[in-house]
Amino acid sequence: MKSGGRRPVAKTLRSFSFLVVDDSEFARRNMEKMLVAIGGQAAGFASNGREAIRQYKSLQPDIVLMDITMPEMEGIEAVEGILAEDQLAKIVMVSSMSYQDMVKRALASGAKHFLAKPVKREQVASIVEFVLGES
Amino acid sequence: MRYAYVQPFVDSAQRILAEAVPGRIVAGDLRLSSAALPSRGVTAIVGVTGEGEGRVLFDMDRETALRIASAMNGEPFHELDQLAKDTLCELAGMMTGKAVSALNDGGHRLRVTPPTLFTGENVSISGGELEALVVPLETPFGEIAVNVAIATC
Repeated sequence: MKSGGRRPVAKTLRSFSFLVVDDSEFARRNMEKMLVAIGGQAAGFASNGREAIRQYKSLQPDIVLMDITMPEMEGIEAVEGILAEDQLAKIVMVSSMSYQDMVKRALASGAKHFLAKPVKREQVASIVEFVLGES
Repeated sequence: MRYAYVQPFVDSAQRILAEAVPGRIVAGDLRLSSAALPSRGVTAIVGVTGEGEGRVLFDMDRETALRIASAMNGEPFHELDQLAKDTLCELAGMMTGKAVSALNDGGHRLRVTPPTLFTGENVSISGGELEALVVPLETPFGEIAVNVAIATC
């Protein structure tokens, strides 16, 4: 596990890298469009939790947008896997399953925020700004 | 069939479609169906498990499916290619996910399976021994039938 010495400089919406994790190609493309429109640069994409952990280790993105229901490994387990590698990882859950217990489970796993699908660009912008702005 | 399960799926489908496609979405009359229904050509199916077992179908014709996929991607689709099919599956997942979330927040305990898409004119939709409740949703791109068959375990 890393001790967390990364990211000494506060990120702005003009410059951040992202990893989008979703088993839906449509959802990945849609999220990419929104993140690029607010100044993000794609570091990579993954279609399940296992791939997300692998990608995170090699790409070290500033933020991860993570679906919950995916094949092979679900999003909540992937959050725990990523945080075991980097406790400062910034992960936002994005799911259409947004009932209270699910949101609580996602946040308890270490995700910084929860976005219910369908997502809007303004929502994505404000949450990314908030999460990246956290100390 | 638990009637309490049905309305959240219709409300959710109406709300999500209103965000996905331009124009008004109008719900028609609810009807009960115990017989197999012919598919209109493109059917997204999502399984429901937990305290209730069954499935929710979103059934539409090919033109409607292509128009919806085009609107959601911001580019025209002339064939139901992998991205178009994936888009319709994601739409079905959002519509059922929102409905199940509302039901679970109301004290129910339901889960959904990942959506699957079937295409073909000569396919019939049967609920097995389950009766289905069907509500047509009129969209500017054509009609989508929301077909819900869930039994309490």
